[in-house]
Amino acid sequence: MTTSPLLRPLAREVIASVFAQRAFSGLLFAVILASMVTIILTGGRSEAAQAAVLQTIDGQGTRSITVQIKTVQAELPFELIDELNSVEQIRGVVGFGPANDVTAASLPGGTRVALRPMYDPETSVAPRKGPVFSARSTPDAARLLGMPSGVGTVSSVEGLEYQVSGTLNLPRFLRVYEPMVASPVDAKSGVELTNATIVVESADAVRAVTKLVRSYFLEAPPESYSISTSEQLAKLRGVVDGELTRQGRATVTWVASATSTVTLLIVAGFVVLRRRDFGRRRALGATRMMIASIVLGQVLLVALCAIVAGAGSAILWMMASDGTAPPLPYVVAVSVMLACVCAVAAVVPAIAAASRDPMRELRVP
Amino acid sequence: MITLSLRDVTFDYPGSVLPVPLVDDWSDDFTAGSVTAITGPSGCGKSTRLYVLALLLRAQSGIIQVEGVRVDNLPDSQKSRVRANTFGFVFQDAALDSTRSVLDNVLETSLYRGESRSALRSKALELLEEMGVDIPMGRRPGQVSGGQAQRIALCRALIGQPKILVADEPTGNLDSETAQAVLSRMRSHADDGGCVIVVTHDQSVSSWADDHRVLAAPST
Repeated sequence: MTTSPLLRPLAREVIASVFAQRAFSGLLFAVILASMVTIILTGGRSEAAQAAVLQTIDGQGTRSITVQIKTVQAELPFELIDELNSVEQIRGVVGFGPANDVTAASLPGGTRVALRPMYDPETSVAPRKGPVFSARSTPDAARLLGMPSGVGTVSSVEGLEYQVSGTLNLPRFLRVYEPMVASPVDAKSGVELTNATIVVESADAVRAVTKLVRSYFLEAPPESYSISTSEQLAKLRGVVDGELTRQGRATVTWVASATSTVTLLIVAGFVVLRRRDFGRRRALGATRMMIASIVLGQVLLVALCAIVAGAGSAILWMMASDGTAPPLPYVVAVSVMLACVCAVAAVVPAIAAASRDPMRELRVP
Repeated sequence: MITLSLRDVTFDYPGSVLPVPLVDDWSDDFTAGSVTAITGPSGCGKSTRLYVLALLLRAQSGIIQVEGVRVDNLPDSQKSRVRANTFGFVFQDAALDSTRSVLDNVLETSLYRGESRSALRSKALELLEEMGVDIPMGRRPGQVSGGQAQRIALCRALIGQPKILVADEPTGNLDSETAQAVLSRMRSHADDGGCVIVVTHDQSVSSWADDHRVLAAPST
């Protein structure tokens, strides 16, 4: 890619002008820096607080649905797990069989931990080697069993042995099952699933997916199964989402409007004070476009420096005072918005600068 | 060789109360290698003619040609390029940028011509030395004398080796020694093939020129 031959000298002229007109640059820098600091310390703080609250709510499983089979009149076939796993709004489904207590084979009287057959459609099941089943334990279960490395043999009260071949870090929505030893199963294993936990893509989808899941159990008696959802939490999440930041966004809008007005006034004042300079430039051969570009470039360069300095200092202040920081996308968005506000505010004065009549400015009375 | 040609050029300021336009059916030719002085009483339109021929004012009628190419009817952006590439300007009060250094002022027009500053830097220093501007190059115009400022302005006008050098009362505010230095450098520009047009009140300047246009006071 080649750049315009004029671009580099024009950029150099913009930089030189920023440093040459220090009063204008300094005033504009101070105004935009103050605006950016205000935005980050108000709207940014609200965004950080909301993100923390939403993360806490999400940590409670706002997007999960749990199905539990209570009697033999209802069943949870492997095919249903596969089918649900292919639904677009569902991020993942994991099925579990009935729990059995196991202890470390080397410590028959040791702490008992629940072992659950687990079916995850995304994971293939290793073939069984002889009479020993394979399993993996969660870190808590490994510690309770006395197998800190997560490797060893456990045996159930019925005398079945399971080779534990490592630890299993459960995703957040499955942490209710901790501590657990999981034995991977599939449709060929001859195990019946009694529980399933479904996690959906977004809290908004909980209701629709719950309705879908319920439709699979229309023929089963209501007492034979239960479906529990986090719909209340999802509703709470929906209420919180945007509510905490509403005031902050109003402040950002106000600050952006004020910045726009003050920038317009400063640049207009600068153009009036420097009108003779622009007239001289026109006489010496500068095109209108060139002059407008120099003015706009000066404003944008100062604005970008002030935005970076303002955002950086405000974020450092927040981190030092309460250990929080606004989300990066928010900082980027308000930075771009403020730069655009400054550029738009400078357009009219830049056009006015480009329109100075050299004759009017240069003639000595 | 004719560098600048004007035919039936008419110009008047909006709202003028004069019975005839300030510049009325003006036809003239300015040749390469010569210095032409335009003189006349105050208000006769000397500077106005200078600005019309330099495309700073739009003629209401007539034709202006530079080396045979018509330029008066060009769009504004192209007129700017003609000014940057063909003309060098010396204004009555130097008109330097007070926020930039002496060297920056001399090199300013390189931006408008699309030339490299670094390539012209040594030439700018040579010109300043030739004009006797012996001051630190980082100094601002506010820190130099009027005579030095006018010599810096002449260096700015000459750095692009313009075909046409126009000067509006270039020696009006100068002592005789500085005025002589400025005129001498303008003469050498003409000797190098440039076309020099000077508006002046100064009789010594008009007598120094090769050609002389005397304007009459406007009829009222």
